[in-house]
Amino acid sequence: MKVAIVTGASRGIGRACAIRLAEDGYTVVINYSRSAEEADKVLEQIKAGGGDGMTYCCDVSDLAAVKQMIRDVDKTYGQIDLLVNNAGIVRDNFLLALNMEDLDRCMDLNVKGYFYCAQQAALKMFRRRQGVIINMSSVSGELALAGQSVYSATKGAVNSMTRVLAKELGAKGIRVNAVAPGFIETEMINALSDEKKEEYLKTVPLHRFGKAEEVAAVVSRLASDEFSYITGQVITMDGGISL
Amino acid sequence: MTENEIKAKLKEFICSTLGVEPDVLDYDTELFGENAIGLDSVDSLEIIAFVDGEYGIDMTGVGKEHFFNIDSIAAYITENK
Repeated sequence: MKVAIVTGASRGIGRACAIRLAEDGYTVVINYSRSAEEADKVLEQIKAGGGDGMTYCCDVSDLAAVKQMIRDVDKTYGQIDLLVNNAGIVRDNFLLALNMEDLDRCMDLNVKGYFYCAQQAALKMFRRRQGVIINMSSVSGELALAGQSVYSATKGAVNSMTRVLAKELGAKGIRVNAVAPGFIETEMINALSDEKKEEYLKTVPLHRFGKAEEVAAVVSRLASDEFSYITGQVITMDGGISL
Repeated sequence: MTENEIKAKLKEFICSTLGVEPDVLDYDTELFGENAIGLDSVDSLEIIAFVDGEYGIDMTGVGKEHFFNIDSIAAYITENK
């Protein structure tokens, strides 16, 4: 059975990816950092649907912890077929109000964390000459949204690393792609006022927010053998915002 | 496993997987760089993955001086076992 690690899988898009991949037949490692209870619920849901997996607490911005996680997963299941780099944070602010602690945390999680997990997972994938890495990016990686300079910069970095890693790892049978969602119905969007939601919706040609399950569906297809000739791509799914 | 056995295994791997002729590869032969036997950065990843799989030693992010030759890789493995 194939094994997938989804980072930041206790909530939102990561949670939807974990559940979808379990439905696809993967044994899923639900990585989380703080939300143990929510991660347990994801695992329960997966098991209720006949799937299998485990939860794993690890702050992906801590290289030593990432190394331990990958070692443990490899030891437990004997292989790692898919890594979904998803754990990340948003700390919006305008440049002059930028808090440097937020800047560091965003870089640590959204960029360094992706590198740490990709490096360690690729090390295990190398051995079997196969594997897929999918990086969760954002439409903000290409679009200039005021107040999102830090988040945009981290997602721009994710897009660039996706392309370069695809080139480095392609000859070893490892594909690397990214998914760049627009506004997705997650806790962050749900917390907005109705006025703000309407303001955002006006920018979306499809005039609705996306669903985490729709992002998970793209991840599922990108990971599948049917899409085995796609690598180094950033798949934008934003309801048309970027048009 | 002794350090000499590790060296022999590394040589066998480099020859069989990376296509280096055994007669040009001694334990002190430089592996990477201008005066070396022509291995490149992708080959270094192969060696890192081999060492990880075979000995459970993580060489990701390790300084390139440890990849100088078979002697130095074997010494790193022995020191970190």
